[in-house]
Amino acid sequence: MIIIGQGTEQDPNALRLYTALNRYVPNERPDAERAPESLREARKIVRKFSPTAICRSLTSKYNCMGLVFATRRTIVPIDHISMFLEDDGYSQVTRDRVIEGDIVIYARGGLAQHVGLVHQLQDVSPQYDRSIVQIWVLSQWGDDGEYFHKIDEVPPLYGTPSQFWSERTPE
Amino acid sequence: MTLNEATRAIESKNFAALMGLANSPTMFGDMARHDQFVMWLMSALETPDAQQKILQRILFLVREQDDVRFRSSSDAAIAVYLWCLGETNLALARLAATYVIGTPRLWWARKVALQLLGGATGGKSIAKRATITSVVATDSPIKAELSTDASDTLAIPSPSRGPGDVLAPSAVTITVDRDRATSKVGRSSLTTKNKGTRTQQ
Repeated sequence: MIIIGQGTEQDPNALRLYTALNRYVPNERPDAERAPESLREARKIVRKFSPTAICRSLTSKYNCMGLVFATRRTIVPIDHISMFLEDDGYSQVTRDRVIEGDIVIYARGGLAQHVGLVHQLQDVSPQYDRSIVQIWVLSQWGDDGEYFHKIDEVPPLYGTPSQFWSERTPE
Repeated sequence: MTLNEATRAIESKNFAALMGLANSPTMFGDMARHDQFVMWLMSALETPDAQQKILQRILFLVREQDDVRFRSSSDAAIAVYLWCLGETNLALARLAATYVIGTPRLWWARKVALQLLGGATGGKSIAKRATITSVVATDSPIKAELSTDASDTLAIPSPSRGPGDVLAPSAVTITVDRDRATSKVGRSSLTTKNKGTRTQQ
């Protein structure tokens, strides 16, 4: 069966996913998970880009957007990230103001390619004689599983950490 | 490098894992474009002989049944073959796409197939209110017409999959405008010249 309008509100397999302002967010759900042996191979590939990455979950049921904005239930194209940023009360923050729970957007050529959750701010100053904070991110790497990883350790095609956003309400 | 070496690499678990890093169809295409084996395959596909071999390889992989609980382990390979074929021989790529499109447990391959057949995924489809007007088997005496209440669901009968029996390059045509869609399904042998399809509006 071919679904015309796959991922739209009419797609029976898509999740009924809306922003806080009730805008429908296109999404798709695969009909099958990748096999465990295939995902274990994926973990090896991930380690090539991030030797220190820690696997949280080996699954292909959701993508990076699905992890951050849809509680790991579906695959949301990265193109729709502005819908969440606009409708869900996000504000951009500078890197030095980031805290755990904020989100980081990776971009290449000015286009968003990947998104993750800021998981931990690790003080690594003693190693460098100056104040340095290592940011650890939790993100889903395409179909290849969910990982804790250093913010700069991602495949080149994901681009570089370009923007930080937060939905925090000031104290 | 030989065609066998390239296909072996593209069908490997390592390649599938690498392509699995892709976050979007665009990124999948970018990754494929920069892979050495894919680049080699692309240049090899300038010959009709290699094109036929890759077409046959796609049809073999589509029929292959590995663990049916999971996504096909050949998903990335089929997607890349389709994509390469689409760059070098669109008619053959569409022929293969008609097979891939109805095959379950494919993800990237299905997306590439849908693009080759003029569709789109990820909520980007131009079809908002598609309605089936007819499904016609062009090379078969069977003529089926159907309509559905599910306005955006287009059901296409599974093509016959006997030996050497595959859909013609333009066997499935999806024409979508704001109000309706028409699909035609035809059967012919692989060697049959493309007879084209008529699209009802």
